[in-house]
Amino acid sequence: MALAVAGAGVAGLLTASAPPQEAAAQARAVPPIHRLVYVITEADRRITEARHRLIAECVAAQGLAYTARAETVTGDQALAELRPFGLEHLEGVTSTAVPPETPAADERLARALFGDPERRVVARGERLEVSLPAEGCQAEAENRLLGPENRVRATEVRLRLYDGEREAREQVDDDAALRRATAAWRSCLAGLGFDAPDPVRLLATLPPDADVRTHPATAADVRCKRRTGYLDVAYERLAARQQAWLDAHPGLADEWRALRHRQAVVAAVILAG
Amino acid sequence: MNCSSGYHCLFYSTIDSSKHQFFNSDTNFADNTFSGGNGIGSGQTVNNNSWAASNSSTGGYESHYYDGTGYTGAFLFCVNPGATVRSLPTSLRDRASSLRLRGTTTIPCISN
Repeated sequence: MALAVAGAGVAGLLTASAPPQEAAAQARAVPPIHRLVYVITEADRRITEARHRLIAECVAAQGLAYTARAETVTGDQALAELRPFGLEHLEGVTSTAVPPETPAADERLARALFGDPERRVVARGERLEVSLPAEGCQAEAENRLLGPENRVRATEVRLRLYDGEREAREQVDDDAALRRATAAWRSCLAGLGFDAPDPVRLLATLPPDADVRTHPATAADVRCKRRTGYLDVAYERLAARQQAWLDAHPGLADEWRALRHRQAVVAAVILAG
Repeated sequence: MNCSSGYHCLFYSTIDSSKHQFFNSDTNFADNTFSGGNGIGSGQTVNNNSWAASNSSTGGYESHYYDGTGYTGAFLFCVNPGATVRSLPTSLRDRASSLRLRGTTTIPCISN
C-alpha cells in the first residue's frame, strides 16, 4: 500500500524498536491531519517544557509551587491510541492511569493559574466552542509563546483541524472501498460466530464490564481486521478524506505549522535563558 | 468555573446543568451519575450521556476521554487544564465512557 502522506518527520519517529501495536500502525498510511497534530516532534517537547517553566516561575513569584507531572508520549503512541476504527490489537489496551491529584486543591493556586474565573476568552470552531482563562499564569505563558494576538486564533485553528478530523471520519463510512472492506470484515466475523454492522458498533455493544483483552468478540474483531486488511483500507481512505478536507480549507495546515514554529522559536529562547 | 479546583467535569447538557466531578481516572462511567448544577440531568447516568466537559486541574493533568470503557475504542478528545468545552458537537455527544487523566503531554488537546 502506498504511504499516502509519508514525510520525513514521520519517518524519523518510526523506529524498529516500537512495540507491536505501534509497529502495526507504522505500516499504514498516516492521515494528514493526524500527522499534523499528533505526530510529536522535538520542537513540540520543547514548547511543552517552556510552557511549564513559564507557569512554574509565574506561580513561584506569587509564593506558590506548581508541580505538574509531565508524561512522555511519543508520536507513535499518540497515533496508536486514536483508534478511529475501534480496536487494532489486544495487547496493552487498558493503560495504566497516572496517580490522582489531590482533589482539595489550593484555591490560591487555581487563582494563580487561571485568574479570575469570570474572565474567560472564547474560541470557536465550526462545531465546537471552547472557553479559556483570560488571565493567570497559564494564559500569560501561552501569550508569551504564541503572542497575545495569536492565542485565541491558535485554539480556533486547532478546533478547525479537529472539525476536519471528525468530518473526515464521519464521511469515510460512506466510502465505497471502506464499505467493501467492512463487508469482508463482517463476513469473516460471521464465520467466527459473531454479528456486528461494523467494528465501532461491535465495541459499543459489548457489556460495560467486558474485558476487551479477553472477550471472544474483540478477539474475532481484531483477527478479522488482520485477515481482511480492513485497517489498511480504512486508514488509506481516511487519509484521502482528510486530505480532501485540508484541500478545501487552504492555508489552515500552514497556519498551524506557523503557530507551532513561532512557539518553538520562543521556547528555544526561554529554555536557553 | 463550574468545575471545582482539582477536578475534571462532565456535564449532562450545558455547563450550568448537572455534572459529575472526577478527581481520578475512571475506566467505566456506568456507575456514575450527574448531580448539582441547575438540576437538569440530575440522577442520569454519565455513561454515553455527556454534552460538555471542563478541566480544573491545578496539577497539570489533562482529561482524555474515550469512546469505550477501559480507555478502549476511539480517543474522542482531550481537555487542557483551565479549559471548558462548552458544547460538544452531535457526533461527540453521549459517547464518552471512560476518562484517563494524563500528566502534561505534548499532545495538542482541542483547547490549545
